[in-house]
Amino acid sequence: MPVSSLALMAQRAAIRTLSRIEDVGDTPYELLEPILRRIDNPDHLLKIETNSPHIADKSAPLWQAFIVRDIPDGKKKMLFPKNPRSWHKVYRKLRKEEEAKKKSAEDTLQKTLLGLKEEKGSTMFVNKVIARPAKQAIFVDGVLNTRGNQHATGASSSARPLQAIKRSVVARAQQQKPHMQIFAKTGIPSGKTQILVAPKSMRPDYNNEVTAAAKRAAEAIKRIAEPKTEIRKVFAPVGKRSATDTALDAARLQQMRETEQRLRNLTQPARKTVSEASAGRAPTSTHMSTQTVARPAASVESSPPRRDILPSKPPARPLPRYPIALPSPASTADSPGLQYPSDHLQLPPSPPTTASSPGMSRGTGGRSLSPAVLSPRAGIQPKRKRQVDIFMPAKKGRV
Amino acid sequence: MATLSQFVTLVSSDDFSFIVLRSAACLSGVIRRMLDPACIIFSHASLLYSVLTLTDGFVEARTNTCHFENISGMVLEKVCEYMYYNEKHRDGKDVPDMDIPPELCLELLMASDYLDSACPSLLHMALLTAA
Repeated sequence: MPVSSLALMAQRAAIRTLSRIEDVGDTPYELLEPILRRIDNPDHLLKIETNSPHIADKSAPLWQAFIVRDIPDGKKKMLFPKNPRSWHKVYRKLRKEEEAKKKSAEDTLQKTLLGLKEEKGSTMFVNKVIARPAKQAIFVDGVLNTRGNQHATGASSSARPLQAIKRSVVARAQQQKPHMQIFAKTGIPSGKTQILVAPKSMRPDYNNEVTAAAKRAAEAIKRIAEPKTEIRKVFAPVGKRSATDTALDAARLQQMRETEQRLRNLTQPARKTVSEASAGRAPTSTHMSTQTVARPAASVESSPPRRDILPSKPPARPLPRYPIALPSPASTADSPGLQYPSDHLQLPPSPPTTASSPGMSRGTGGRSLSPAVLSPRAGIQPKRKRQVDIFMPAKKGRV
Repeated sequence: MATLSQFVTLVSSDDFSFIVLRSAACLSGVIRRMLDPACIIFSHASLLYSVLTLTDGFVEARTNTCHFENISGMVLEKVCEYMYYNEKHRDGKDVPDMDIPPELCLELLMASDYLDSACPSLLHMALLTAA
């Protein structure tokens, strides 16, 4: 048959996904044998056997193959269990034995290594001491000071400290030999108090020009690299206004009023009385629409007197949060509808101005006020910039 | 019963029916014998053997239907697919394997072993060589 049988194809497919097979149900062992032979991990085989015990009955050859593969001299150590289902136990047992042996071998190896190390440090007792003349014997406390040799030769090694250290080590090693036996009394030099590096002042290159220059350069770099932080003084208005501030404000206002009065006198020879103007304007103070109607009329009437560069009563400006104590020549309420929202704002009342009333009707808490809105209608008043309190957001709604 | 029907029905354990060509189905030795009218009854295949007469053959032969109580619908479908695959590539060489999903392969292995796909001796020989 050119086409392989379905069984073979199924076996091949199973081998391809062998890792995912955990349970074979009740498939007979003979069908599974080619698949199970491909298992790498004995634990995998054990899992399959646990799920399908009938496999364990016949899987002896598989386990034997594992034993031969994983355990050195497996063939010789092969044990044959009485129960054919417990081949996996044989494998595990042999495996454990193998690992125990390995571990013990490692331990002995480690011990021998340590033993060698220990031997180096232990004192040796010899029968004979061979006398060896010390080159430059220095006695300290009646005992030959080995380190004195090193210090004595230190002068010659000033230029090459590494060589000097080596020499000192060699010297020490020589002294550890039996013919010296210095340490029988003093004990093994542990090196804990040993000076390994000369102090800076005693080093050959101390106070060298090079090192000094290097130090200076390093400092200079440090200075350059430091971030330059400038403390800039910021002049900001203080929270509370002092008396001088209020006085200045008042003075300024007064000055402005005077100037305006002067100009008015110059430009407007004939003027209606203030009371007429106020009477005409009072009823229209509440609504904008009526104001728009009335204002042109009123403005036509009182255009000469209404040509205010600066209205006598300044509009209710939304002054900042801090309280303003301005001198108030008159009471605040002089006409219905002209209620200042901010009580602390006490400005001298003027004839009810078209400028102020719409502002009053609109703004609360002294938000934005636009005399500019009125100027197109009045046609006289100069356009003033919209007063916005930068600390408060612009209020969009109207009262 | 002079002419055998061209198509036979294979029914799975969960009552899925597959109508296949007789020539394709007889790839399996079991099915071939079940459907062969000239075959003598053997007790293991037919449930109603006691009712039939000896010369009549299996019930399956008369009704052209084979019930498989141990094969599920999915596996039987794959078996039918294999039958046609086999017939299609009867004369070909080096044909790629049919696609077998891993979830089915073990069940398919059991079913194919039961059905003795193609030549039973060949199957055993193949298994031996694989082993």
